Parts: sequence; C-alpha cells; structure tokens
Amino acid sequence: MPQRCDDLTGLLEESAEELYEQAPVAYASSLPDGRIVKANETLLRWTGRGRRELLERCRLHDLLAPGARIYYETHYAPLLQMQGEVREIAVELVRPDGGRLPVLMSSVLVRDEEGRGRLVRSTFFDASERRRYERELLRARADAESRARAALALGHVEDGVVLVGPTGRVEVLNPAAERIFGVAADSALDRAADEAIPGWSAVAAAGAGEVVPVERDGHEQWLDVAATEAGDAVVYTIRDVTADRRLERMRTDLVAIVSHELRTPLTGVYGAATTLLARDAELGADGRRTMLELLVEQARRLATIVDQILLTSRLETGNAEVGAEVFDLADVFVDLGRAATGETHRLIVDVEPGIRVRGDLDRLRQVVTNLADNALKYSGGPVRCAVETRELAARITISDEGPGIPPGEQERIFEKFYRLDPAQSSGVGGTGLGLYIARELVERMDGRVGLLRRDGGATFYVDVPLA
Amino acid sequence: MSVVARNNVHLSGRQGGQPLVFAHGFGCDQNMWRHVAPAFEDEYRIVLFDHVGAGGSDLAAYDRTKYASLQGYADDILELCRELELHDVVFVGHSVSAMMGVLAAAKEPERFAKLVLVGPSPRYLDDADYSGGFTEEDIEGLLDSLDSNYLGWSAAFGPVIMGRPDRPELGEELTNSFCRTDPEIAKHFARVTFTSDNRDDLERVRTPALVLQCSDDVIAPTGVGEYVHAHLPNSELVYLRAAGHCPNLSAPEETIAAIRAFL
Repeated sequence: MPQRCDDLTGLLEESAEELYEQAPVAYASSLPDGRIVKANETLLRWTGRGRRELLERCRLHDLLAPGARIYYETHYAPLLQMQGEVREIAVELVRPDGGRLPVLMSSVLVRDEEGRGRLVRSTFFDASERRRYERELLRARADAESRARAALALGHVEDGVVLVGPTGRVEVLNPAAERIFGVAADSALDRAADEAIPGWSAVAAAGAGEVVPVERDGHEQWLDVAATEAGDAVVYTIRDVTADRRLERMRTDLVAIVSHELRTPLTGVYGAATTLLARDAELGADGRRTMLELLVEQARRLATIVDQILLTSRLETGNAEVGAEVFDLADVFVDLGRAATGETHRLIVDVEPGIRVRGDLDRLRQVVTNLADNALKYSGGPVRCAVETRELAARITISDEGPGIPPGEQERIFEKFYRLDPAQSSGVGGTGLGLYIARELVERMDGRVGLLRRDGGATFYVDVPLA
Repeated sequence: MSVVARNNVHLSGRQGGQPLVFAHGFGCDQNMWRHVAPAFEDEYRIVLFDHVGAGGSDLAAYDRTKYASLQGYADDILELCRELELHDVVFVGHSVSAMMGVLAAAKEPERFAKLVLVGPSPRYLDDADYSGGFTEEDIEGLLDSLDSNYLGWSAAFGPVIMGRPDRPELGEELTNSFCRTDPEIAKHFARVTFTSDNRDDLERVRTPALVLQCSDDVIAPTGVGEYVHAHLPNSELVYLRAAGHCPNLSAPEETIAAIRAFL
C-alpha cells in the first residue's frame, strides 16, 4: 500500500503547466479575429509548426485544410459568435508539409461584461481512428441505402424473381413471385426451393424461355420461365402467362366452333334453300314444308350459337345485365315446351304456382330452357321439371334418364367451351357454352347451378333466392 | 404556398418605411443579421428571410433543378418583393447572397434602390487571370467536411447553452438550428455556390452598390472584393477592419456604421 501512495505522489508532482503543454489534446487560445495568442506543445507537434510561427503569423483557420477552412468560416465561426460555444466539429489540421490530421474541434467564446467576444479557447482531439470508422459507417449506410433501393425495385417489378443459392435454397423471393406461387417469402426463404415453392420442380426443369404448366389450387397455371446464372446462384424470372394462354385457347376454341358448329347448320340452310330453288316443282306441298321447316330449324340453331357467343363475350366484359325483379317461379315454365327444341312431348313439368323468387325472369327461363334442351338431347326417356322450396332458395330440378355425366366430368362441364367426349355424348354436338352461361347468369342472380348425385340419368338443379 | 411561408419571412421595423431586405449566405440562416438588422428598425421596414433549404424555410420546396444556379435564389428574392409589394428596395446580401442580389437587380432594376454587398465573390474558383481563392479540390474538401459533420450534427448544434440569465433572448434562439439543414441540401447548395461564376453579370447592374470588404477574409479575399468594385459600374468599396467572413456577427457596429453611411 505505501508503495502505491509513493507512486501517486510522484504523478501528482506534475504541474498544471506540464499537463497543459503535454496533454493528449491540442489547445489554442485565439482572439476573435483568429490570431493565435497561446498554444500547447501538442498543437505545435500536430501542426508541425514552431511556437513563434504559430503565435506571430497564424490565424486559427490557417491550421485547417482548405475545405475545412470554408466550413470553419461559414459554419463554425458564425455558430461560435451566436452560441458562444461549438462542440466536436470534424475538421482536418494541415501541416506545412501537406500532411493532415483529422481532429474533433471544440471552442468556447469568452465574453467581457458587455457581452463582446474577447477570447476563443479551442481544443483539438486526435480523431484519426474515429474518422476511419465513421467513413466506414457512412459507406455502410450508403450501401444499405442502395440495397434498399434495389429491394424497392425488386418489390415492384411485375415479374416474379426468385434467387436460388448454391445449395438449392431460396435466398430471394419477390412479391410478384409470392403472388404467382401463392407462397409467402417469409415461409420460403432459406428453405429448399422444391420444398418451399409449389410446382418448383417444373419451373427448375424449364428450358430457356420455356412456358411450363404448374398446378395451383386445382387450376392450371402457365409460367414463362427464364433462368440466369448469377455467380454461384441462379436467378429465375417468372411471368404468369395463364391469361395469355387462356385467350389463346379461347381463340382456338372459337375457330373450332366456327368451323364445325356454325358450318353444320349453315350447310343445312344452304342445302335446303338450294333444293327448294332447284327442285321446287318436283317437291310437293309436303316436301316444300319439310324443306322450310329444316331451314327454320337450322337458322334457329345458328342464331342460338351466335347469341351464346355474344352473351359469353358480354359476361366476360361485365356487360351482361341481369335483373332483380320478383316473380312467380311457375312463370319460368310457361311455354317451356314451345321454347325447347326436340321431342318436347317427353317434357313433364310438375310445377305449382305460388313460390315467389327474386331474379331475372327472362334469363332464368333461358337457363331452364337450355337445361331442358340438353336433357332432351342426351336421353330418350322422359325429362322431369320440378320445384321445391328450401331454406333460403327455391330449387328447380331437371332430371333425365340418359347416360348421366361421368364423375370426372361433373365439374368441368361448367367450364367454357368444355364438351363431353363424343363417345360419351352419343355424338351430340354443341358450343360448350350453354352450361357456362347458365352458371354465370344464375350466379349473377345470387343463385347456384349444379348437378345432383344420382344413379342413372342426370339431375341438374338451379337455386334461386326466395323473394 | 406563399413566399412568406416558403422563405420563413419575418417583418419588423417601421410600417411604410423603405424596405431593407437582408439575405443570409451559405452556412446559416437569417440569424446572421441578429446584431445588424435591429439598428435599422426605427427608420426602415426590415425584411428577414431564409433561403429555401436553410433555417426555417420549407424544405419540401427545395427543387434541385431550380436551385441548380444562383438565379433560382435570385428569382425567389424577386417573388418575395412582388408578394410583399416591396419597391425602392435596399438589398443587403452577405456572402453568396450578394451575387443573388446582383442577379435580381440585373433582372428587375426598377425594383431596387441600392445594393449592399457584404463579402461578395462573383467566382470562388481560380481561373486564368482571376484568383477566386479556391480550387476544385478545396470544394471537394468542403463537401467532405459537410459529410463528416453529419453524424454529429444534432449533438453539435442542438440547444447547447443552458442558464444564461444575463441574455435570456439567447435561450430561445439557441434551440433553433441556425446552421442545420438536410445535409444533402447543404452539399448541393455548397456545390452551386462555390462553382458559380457571375463575373459577367456585374456589368449588367446600374443600381448604386456598396461593397464591404473584410480584412483577412478567406472566403472572399480582398482581391475579389476589388474585382467586384472594378466591374460593378455604380459601386463604392469600403474596407472594414473586421477580420473574417462574417462582419455582421463579429463586428456588427462597424458593419452598421458602413451601411448607414452609404444609405
């Protein structure tokens, strides 16, 4: 213990003057005009100047690098005048040989009784280390900002972008990719791509610029995939082209309908008209009537197909108007026999008036007529129409005793342009639009169209909201 | 938005008096005039404002295209005069604002009665046969200084002086930030200021002008002040004893006396 006290005593022998001169801090006292009147050894050492030179020829700003000198004159000096004190401003001291030392400079202004500045006391801390890491910080911040901008861009491109690292793990998955694959980035990142992203194997296997089908939620999705190697990773750019595909398919389907469904009745019309024209005399009254009936029948079929195509187009563009009036459900079946085609004597309508529903009477009649037509077409037996009241809706059922709909086809028959395999449909043609239109129209009345499970024959139902 | 709000305009002095418009230079804001402007309040209408990007101005109005040259600031001064219906204006510009005054008077001479240019410089960079005092490298150094002092910005310029019962007015002012602004704006303003060259504009101005030249001003050296006087037709040059670039703060009495003598 005494030993220590002795040491301390030794240290305390240092005078205030020694501390001032040799402190690890540079000191300068200057007049308000900048002339230096006192400085410590440390400042002389740091600035590489002799005491006489410093005290006789230097102003405070002469010790600063030129850029810092402007900063001193435009910021530091005015602030010192206004605040009486400035702290920790980063500047550089410059030596006559051009060497520079980054320092933190602080000053206080000593005022006289009248508030006039008389003396400026300044300190300079060596800030070389600090400046280095501050520069690193600034650089890191600039990097981070630039990365944030890049992420912003990635977040707003319309194409899905997925970056898969060398071990097959997802490293980047942008919002467009989240939408395309229906997967959240949070749950996919850092996991194996083929585990984390549904349908990834098809994407990964796609060739350059190839469009591949991917199953998502029971629907087919078409993706245009481009893969680019980026260092040790692979960047996949994915565009959802399902809508383009759908359009393309519709176009093909339309061509098929025009070439087949429209041509058949047109041929009939043309044939009947030509026969009438060429063999008018040979045909008796009955023969002429048969030809005319054929003409009417085929023309009506043509009109139906054209109407269906136009209505489909209107439904897709949202231009199909569906009313919401209240009517008696029995009104739907008035003249059903005349509206339907085929052997309408097989139609059995078992409907009592008194059920009030809300919807579009004409559209509903169109739907029921279409269902009855189908039933008559696909079966040779009786077709029964009935109504019943359920909790919130009235249900119309149309049942036939035909071959029924194969289980695998029961949902798909409501898809646009979908037609049963000719082998299963006894060669009955059609546009494949009837059931699609029926479902679209009834859904716009807040109702439902569907198929009931049944052995032998098919039973379609239409639910319409009760009034 | 009104110019008054955009430029944080403060009016004082005599109602109906001749307008005395004070413009601050690069670095701080209208507080630079705190010791000078009050001396003229009895006789003149005092107009103080901050350039857009400085002090209490609307930073959202900072448009890098408009303020890519000093003309943008000069146009603001003219807009301010128009909105406040100022005529027969005495314009007092410090540092870079001196040249903004020159540009404004060249564009609308009828608006101005007199110009007072405190530490003016038509070009800060050296050129053939012209010594502005700075090189391109010095300006890069200044931008560096602005960057370096960004991290410690708020600590350095916040409310620093506590308990000054002798000068209570300081308390409130010091909570303001005379020299603080968006560092990106400060850097842009610095670049525009120190790369400006308005030497050719001096001869376009016929308005009587006073050039106040400080001693030992590193921003606007004596040779530069003399250049301004030589090329500005109706100018007179007064040398101040005050050293440095801000006589409005360091030697307000001498500055006031020189302006008063000129007016």
